[in-house]
Amino acid sequence: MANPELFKDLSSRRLTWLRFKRHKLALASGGFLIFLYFIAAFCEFFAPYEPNWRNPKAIFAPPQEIHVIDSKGDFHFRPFVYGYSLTINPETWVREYTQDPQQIHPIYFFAKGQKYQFWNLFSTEHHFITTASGQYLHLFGTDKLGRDIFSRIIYGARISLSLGLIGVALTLVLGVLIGGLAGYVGGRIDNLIQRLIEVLQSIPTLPLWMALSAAVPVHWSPLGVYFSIIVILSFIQWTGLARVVRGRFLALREEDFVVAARLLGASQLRIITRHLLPSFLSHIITTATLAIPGMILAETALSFLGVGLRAPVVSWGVLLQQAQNFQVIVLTPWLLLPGIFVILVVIAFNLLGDGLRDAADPYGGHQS
Amino acid sequence: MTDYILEVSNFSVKFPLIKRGLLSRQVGEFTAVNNVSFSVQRGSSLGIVGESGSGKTTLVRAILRAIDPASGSAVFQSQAGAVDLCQLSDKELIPLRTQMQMIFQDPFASLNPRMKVADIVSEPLVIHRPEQHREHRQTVVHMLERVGLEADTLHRFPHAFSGGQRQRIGIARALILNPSLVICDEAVSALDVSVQAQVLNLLVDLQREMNLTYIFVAHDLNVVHHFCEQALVMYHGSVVESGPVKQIFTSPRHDYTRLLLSAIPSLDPDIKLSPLDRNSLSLE
Amino acid sequence: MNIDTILSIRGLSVMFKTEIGEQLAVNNVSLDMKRSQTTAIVGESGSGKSVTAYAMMRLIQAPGKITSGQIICTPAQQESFDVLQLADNSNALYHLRGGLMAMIFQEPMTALSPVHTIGNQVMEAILTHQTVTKAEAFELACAMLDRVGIADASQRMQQYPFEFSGGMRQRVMIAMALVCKPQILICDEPTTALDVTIQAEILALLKELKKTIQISLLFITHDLAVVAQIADEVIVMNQGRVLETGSVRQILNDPIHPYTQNLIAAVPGMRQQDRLRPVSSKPDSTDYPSYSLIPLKGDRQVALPVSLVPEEYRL
Repeated sequence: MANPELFKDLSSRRLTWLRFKRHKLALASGGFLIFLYFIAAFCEFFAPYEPNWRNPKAIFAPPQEIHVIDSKGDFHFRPFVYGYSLTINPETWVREYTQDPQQIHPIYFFAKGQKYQFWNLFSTEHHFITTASGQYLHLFGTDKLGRDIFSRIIYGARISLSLGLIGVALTLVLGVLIGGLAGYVGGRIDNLIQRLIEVLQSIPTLPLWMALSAAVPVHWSPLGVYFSIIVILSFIQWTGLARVVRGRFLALREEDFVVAARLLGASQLRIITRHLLPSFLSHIITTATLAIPGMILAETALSFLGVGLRAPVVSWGVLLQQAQNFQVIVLTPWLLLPGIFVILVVIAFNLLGDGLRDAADPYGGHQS
Repeated sequence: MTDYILEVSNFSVKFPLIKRGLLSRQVGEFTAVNNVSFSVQRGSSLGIVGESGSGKTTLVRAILRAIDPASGSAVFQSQAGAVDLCQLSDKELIPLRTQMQMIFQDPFASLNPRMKVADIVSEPLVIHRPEQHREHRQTVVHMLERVGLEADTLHRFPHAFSGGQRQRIGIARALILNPSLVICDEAVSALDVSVQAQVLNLLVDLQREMNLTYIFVAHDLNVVHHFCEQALVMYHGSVVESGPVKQIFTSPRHDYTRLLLSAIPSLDPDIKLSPLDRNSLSLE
Repeated sequence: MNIDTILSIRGLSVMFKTEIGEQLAVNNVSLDMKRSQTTAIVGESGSGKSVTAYAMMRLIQAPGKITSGQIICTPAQQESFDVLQLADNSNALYHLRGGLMAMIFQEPMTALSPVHTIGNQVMEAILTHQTVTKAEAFELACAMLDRVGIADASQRMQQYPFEFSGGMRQRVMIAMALVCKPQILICDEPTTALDVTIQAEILALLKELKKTIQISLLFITHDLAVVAQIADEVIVMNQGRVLETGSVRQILNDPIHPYTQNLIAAVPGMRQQDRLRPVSSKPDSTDYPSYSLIPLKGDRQVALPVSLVPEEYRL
């Protein structure tokens, strides 16, 4: 039976969490994303190699499978992979790598491997997984320069995922400020802002982004390019959010509890911070969560086309640029793996956003 | 000399009709309240009755300056003397807010769902008497008890309460600063009959204890008859009848009042409802 | 079962799942609807009256679930059947809703589709249940709209709901409900959202229609005065249970259950009274512990133990 007493003491945040918990998919997506962001935050530790390190013994090499039982049937407590042996296919004259059961490369966890700088703070050699020196581990294969795809995807996660977050944060600030102003003040300012939004939204986005991106000076550091991409993407995205915020403010302004606050003599600032903002915060968070995949896809698209981030910066879009011809599908399909990650992350964010949206209004069904 | 706490004269509220285009233009206006005049005696209850579209809610919200009137005056006898509410700026109105308050119709929409009850009821104190913050909690508990709620409601949120209880929270919020004029904007219309009775009884008690003057807006004539001494009947923005409640009910003068009275169903199954035919009356 | 009873509910229970647990909105409810009479279900919010009506039409959806009970319907010159036993998507269920049983709702604006014309919607109701041509359906629709008091029916058929006032929309809903000649009409608080003058017109219309069409009305409301005007039989519900049943005069002039007595006393009337007596309807109130309905003299029932019922009412 229902426990109405328990219900009474719950704050709106608890209620939202309770409703959110019912969406198993959203919960799982949330967990998945937290996991990915964690890995991206510590990417130097989790990736066995640096993103630009080349292994001359493995050019366009296929992914290595993990085994515990070797060709002789012995069980190894430590999992391992087989090294490559290079053969030339007599029919196609193409270099092929096959897995050589004679070369056993054990996998070590939390062991010393390549040296790296941890967030530019200190240098260390410990990695989550690595192999002995002279041996190699390519779980996702290598690209045309022998770079480990697995490591590059992990490093790329840091760029792609953080870009989504920071980009949406910037969009949020712009959208809430400008949209809130329009909705709360109304009148001519509202009119002006709306027309501005309409003009911006009518410009085709991809050509605009490409043009702005091409205007970024070539000599800028990768970090500079990174932030300018964020600014460029947010340049249009804020308009959508501003519209949503404006609509919400307009509706909220007429709510009885806002009128009551005005009649109590509350100042405008108090009304905005105490009454209006908390009411639409959950709505805005949901909208922002659903905007992140858009950001990620946009950056991926730009980099894929070559006008976004460029080497040596590694993002999933930059990785996909290597996979632009159809030969990839037949010969080296593992180069498409970054795309799978983009898809998974986008789906995860969408499911999370759906769950948040359903949970965000806990008062919807409880009015008796 | 009758002590009038509020004297409203030639009060009108108009809404602009906007034509949407590249540049929005005003093409006309809609008169929601048309040249209304009335007075309220201190300590009494004035009922304002009307159906939807009569302008009664617009009238009282404009008196409190939640919306701005187009013309007219509303002279309020504040603690500092007589002031015309229509002439004051928003800033000048703020200190007066402690003396006139409103109780809203919808118990679910009139309380901020994300604020604890303690914060909701103490908000007027925080705004107007911030220096006395140490006494706030005590005042809030006292007020909640007066409206029939226990102290443990303090840390709960509005959704934990029923409609009637929320309405009591709204009453506590409105009365905590001891106003002299309280406007009840359909304050019991959204409540169940039994709860409505409880809240009406509470309002009567509080009026006696705190010497309040009520302006009671309602569409239910029975409630107005029970609760008020004087009443106004509004139709399409104008006052069509005013006077003592009993007189309005026993000898109505305007056709609309007659129509309204004939439409009220009686609790006695043997008194059959025979509403007047709208078309046979002159309603303007 | 009595041939005078067109609908009989026995032991109906409906449960709702919320994120804090399960709640019984309707708790072991039994009631009868007499043929060609107006039965009113009176209750406050949370009494389960609307849920009961929705269960009658098999309109309960997740998170609600009918957990037990029977709804035996005996249409004129036909066999009785249990509404709850009908298979989903069966023909019988299809013809029940709108055909045998029709419903009008509280909010006419949300019950009518804003993007279809009035004529379109009324004709849809006709064409769903009768095999007639479109032209014939048009004629029938016009006739019905005229019958419910909408002037210039053929022209107004082309208009959209937003062009109608609240009272007119309610008339349209009544037309849509009656156009297939149902034997049971369920009215779920149809006048609650209307002004009192419009309410009077709608009530007059319903009474007049009932005189000329052979129909059994189930009227759900919280307003006792409306019950006094329109009902023949009254059922009082509270917290998902039936507390008292009887004729309208028995219930309003001579109530037995303390809840009913308090409810009547809480209605402000033209009586001279300083204070209204409030009613308590708290969920776990010890005032009204649950008892089963017992039959009394004069074909009425009350949910009290015999010991608490005054002598003159007992069988």
